[in-house]
Amino acid sequence: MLLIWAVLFYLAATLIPSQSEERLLQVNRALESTRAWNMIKSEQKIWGNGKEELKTTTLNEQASFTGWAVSESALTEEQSFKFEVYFQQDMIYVRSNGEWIKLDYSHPMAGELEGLRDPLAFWQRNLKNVSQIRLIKVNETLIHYNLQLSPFRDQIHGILFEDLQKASIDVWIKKEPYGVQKMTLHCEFKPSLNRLYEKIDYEVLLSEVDQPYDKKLPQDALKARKME
Amino acid sequence: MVKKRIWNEILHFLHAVLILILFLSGLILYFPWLRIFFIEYRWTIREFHTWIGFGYFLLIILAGPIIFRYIRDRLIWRKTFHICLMITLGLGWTVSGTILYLNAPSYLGLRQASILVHDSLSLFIPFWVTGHILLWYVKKKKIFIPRQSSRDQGPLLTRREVLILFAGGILSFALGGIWKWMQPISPSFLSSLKQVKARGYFRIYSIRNDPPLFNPQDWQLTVDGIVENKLTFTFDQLLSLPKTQFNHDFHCVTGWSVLGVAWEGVSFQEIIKLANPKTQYVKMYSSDEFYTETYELTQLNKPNVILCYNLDGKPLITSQGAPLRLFHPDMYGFKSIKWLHRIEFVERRDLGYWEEKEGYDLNGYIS
Repeated sequence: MLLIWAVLFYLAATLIPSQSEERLLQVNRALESTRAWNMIKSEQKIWGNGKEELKTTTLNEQASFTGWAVSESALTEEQSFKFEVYFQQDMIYVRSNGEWIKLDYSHPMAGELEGLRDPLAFWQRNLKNVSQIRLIKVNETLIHYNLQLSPFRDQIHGILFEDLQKASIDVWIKKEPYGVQKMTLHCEFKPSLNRLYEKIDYEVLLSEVDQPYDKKLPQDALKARKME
Repeated sequence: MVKKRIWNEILHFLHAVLILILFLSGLILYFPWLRIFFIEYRWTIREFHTWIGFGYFLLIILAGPIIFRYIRDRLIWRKTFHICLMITLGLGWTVSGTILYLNAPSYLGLRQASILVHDSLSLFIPFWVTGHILLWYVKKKKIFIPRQSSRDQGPLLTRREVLILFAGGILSFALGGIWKWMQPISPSFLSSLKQVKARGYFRIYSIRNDPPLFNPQDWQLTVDGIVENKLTFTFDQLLSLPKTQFNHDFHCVTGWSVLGVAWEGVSFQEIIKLANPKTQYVKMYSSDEFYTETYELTQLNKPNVILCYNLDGKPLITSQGAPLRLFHPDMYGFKSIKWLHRIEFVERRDLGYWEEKEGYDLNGYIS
């Protein structure tokens, strides 16, 4: 009899998720729903030690696998590096200082642009590093969760996340239309003489665009030099 | 007495009819081909199934006192077992059915568990009911009369123990669920989340700043050393050999990976077959003859160790080792020599470039 009770206890413990797991499933589901939007606009910012280092705006149309992005990263106090990217189905076109180059998706540089091509991948990938999740607030329109992360190793926008002391994500889920509205990552690194930043903050704001995608590849891009 | 008996029979009949209606309507909702067949009425059938289910639950509640008196009056362990089982099934269907009906988006995992419980209990019921009817028929027709034993004592359990078994079982299941609800996120759950892997991208590592450029007019691959047949291939001749294609991850010893790369080329086994080597070691040379790697023949004599000329559906570019590189799926990238130019079958195995320079492992297997 005890054995049967133990088996039933174990069955229930296996079948039924924990409350934390339900919440994480909800975050995952929100990200999946966001991916299903026909066109996603993202505005991403990165701060290093509290100073804005990178700002990007992207527009991605899921069905046609096309997208557009503009990125600006700080070089010095006064100067910044800007470039514009057009993601076509088989080729990536990049314009900087009026010059065009093109590269295909298997080129090493294509990996550096992943954060512009798919703004959600980095966040969804790191859900598997979540150690704790807390519900912060629920109101009529938004659900706010805080996720504590175990130390992880990943890379986005040229920033390598490793040797982390602390990392957490805040996510705001919109109830209608269902999806993620905003995500922020706060990381603190282990002290190191070789490291430029002690902390990094990364934010992405997402919205669904209910208009046809209108970022056509400019004609002069066709003369782009192919990157080897 | 007669009135009581009639009520018992009415309840029994009603219970059977409700179970049958729920089972049949549930079958339509369960099997995809039936769902499609009744597609226009699917929501109506779902509502109907739900309301009958609610009625079934009400029946159990309202008939509770009558059922209790029935068990108390008969004191037969078989009847106690059967009724306890029916009540347990009814509770299981009601709880899981309610969760499914509410369909709260915040409880996706609980909904999935409820579907599993609801369907499992439902698939069990036809077997139990068939046995129940068969037993009644056999007894009625006196085909088989069971040996008269104590009404209170079954083969394994007494009537009291049956009651304790079911009560304890329901409690154990409930406690298991409550305990799990309060637990933190489990590693097995995290690994079950859909993996959005960082495909990664190839970093370009080269010992020279000026990688060799491929000229299809004069490029050739030489296969020589201790072999029966020395060979020379132009690029076109290489392309004409039997082709091998597969997807596999690429791992660099420095820690980065590219996942799901599509590799295409000639299996090294084809080279072995044509050259017929008479030795156990292989040395490969990059175009500059400076970067080399060495192997045991047995390490290369596998179908998915290839001389690769296409990566992700396109010819290799210069930085990837055009026109030809080795790919060994079980070894780190430094063993998959780029700009491959010569394959020599040798008597003795030396160290390759990185093994000699930095003490890398000679075999370079991915760990």
